[in-house]
Amino acid sequence: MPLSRREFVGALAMSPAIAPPPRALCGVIDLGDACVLPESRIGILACTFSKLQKMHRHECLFYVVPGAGPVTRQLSRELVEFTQGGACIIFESAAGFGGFESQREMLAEYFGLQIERPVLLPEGRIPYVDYHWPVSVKVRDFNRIVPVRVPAREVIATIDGIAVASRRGKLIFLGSPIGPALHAGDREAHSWFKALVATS
Amino acid sequence: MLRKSIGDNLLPKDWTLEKGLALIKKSGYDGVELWLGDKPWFQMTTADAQIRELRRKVEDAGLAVSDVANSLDWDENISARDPQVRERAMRHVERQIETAQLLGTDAILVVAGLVTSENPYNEVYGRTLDSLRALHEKAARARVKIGCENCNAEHRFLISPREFWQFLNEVDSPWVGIHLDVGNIHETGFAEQWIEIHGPRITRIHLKDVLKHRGRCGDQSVYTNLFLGDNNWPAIRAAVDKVHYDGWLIAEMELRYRYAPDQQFWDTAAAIDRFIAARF
Repeated sequence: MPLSRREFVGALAMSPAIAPPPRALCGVIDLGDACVLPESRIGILACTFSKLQKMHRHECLFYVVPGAGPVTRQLSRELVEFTQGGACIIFESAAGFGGFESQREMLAEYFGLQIERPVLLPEGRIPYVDYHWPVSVKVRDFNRIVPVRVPAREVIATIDGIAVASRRGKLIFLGSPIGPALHAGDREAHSWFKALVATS
Repeated sequence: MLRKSIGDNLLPKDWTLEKGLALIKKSGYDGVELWLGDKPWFQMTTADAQIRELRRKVEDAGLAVSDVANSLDWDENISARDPQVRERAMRHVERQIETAQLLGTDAILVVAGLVTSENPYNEVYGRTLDSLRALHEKAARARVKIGCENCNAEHRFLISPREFWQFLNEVDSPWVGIHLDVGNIHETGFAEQWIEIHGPRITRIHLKDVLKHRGRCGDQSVYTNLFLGDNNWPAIRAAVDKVHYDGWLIAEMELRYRYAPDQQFWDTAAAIDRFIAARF
């Protein structure tokens, strides 16, 4: 079959041999011991589109830092590099269980994000975080939240009027861990996470 | 052979271990259930050498240790959300396994899973599974069975016998079974049916009676002495035979006598004798 020059060049551009390898959708960054909520890591990894991602690789469109406790400058620099490479970061803070000071410093210095001291939520409350973006769902809170101080337009989730998740550029900050709800099979948590990945 | 035991947690607070063991023996029991974290002689800080000494005292009194329970699970549960609390819970269960070996018994009791308004059911299910799967190896090495107590209304978890059975299937270890409490089932079923369903997975049996229609409010207890409540004791006795349970029957009484507290031990021992003899 004759092939025009335009068709030939078009086919060549689509060829896997020449095109860069497709980027994986989502990577889960393993913090090791600095992940203070291991079930978050399990919950997020259980999402079929996730895989455990070693650092120093830039092959995903989306990175999740699950159950984060103490964070290092090296990690902070890596996260910035990922965002500069076009990737989105979901930073799931578990600072209510440890590592608050280092997170506060890192987020302020590298992302200009202000977080506040962890809050132990009172008993007898309505136990849900209201996510407003990318879809509206209710997901159980995890007792200890890390409020985030951002303009209203950046807030993506609240509990009792307290902002607990935000979106600033390529950084999505979660101040109430969602991984445990994913691990527990919470439908709304899964739909929120899938919508987030699809949107970003 | 069915044998009688009772918990050391029932001993009056100001009694010494020796005085308590003497009462337990004299009132007709074969063994004692030791509660980690409850009495001064058995704490997390109690060293191995002291545990060996504890065993010697039990045996000198003419008794055996039926199993190792704990009073810590309500504050530190293996299903806790906080990883540090969960870690402490894992540690005290591991200590139960270690001390069970030292004390010459092959079973421990744990309250595995604690659902609260803050700690929801599905999370508790997953974390409890993960924790028990992790503990099973140590239990297997020590040849000590972990008996998960059915606390039903108290821990609001695994309320039906079939769900409990399914849960144990998922744990999938011969070293993890059920410590079946016939007084904990309340309005949610019938103890004899739990015994039938769990049969070979029963590690130990706790005995107490329950006032099913009373409910629990404040410090009002639904638990009562054997034969004073609503359990169908002839049916329970028949179920024990049906599944060929041939181990320890451990009194877990809640009602403490205001006067003559030792009377509880005598009365309960006499009631268990009648239960074993099926004389109703």
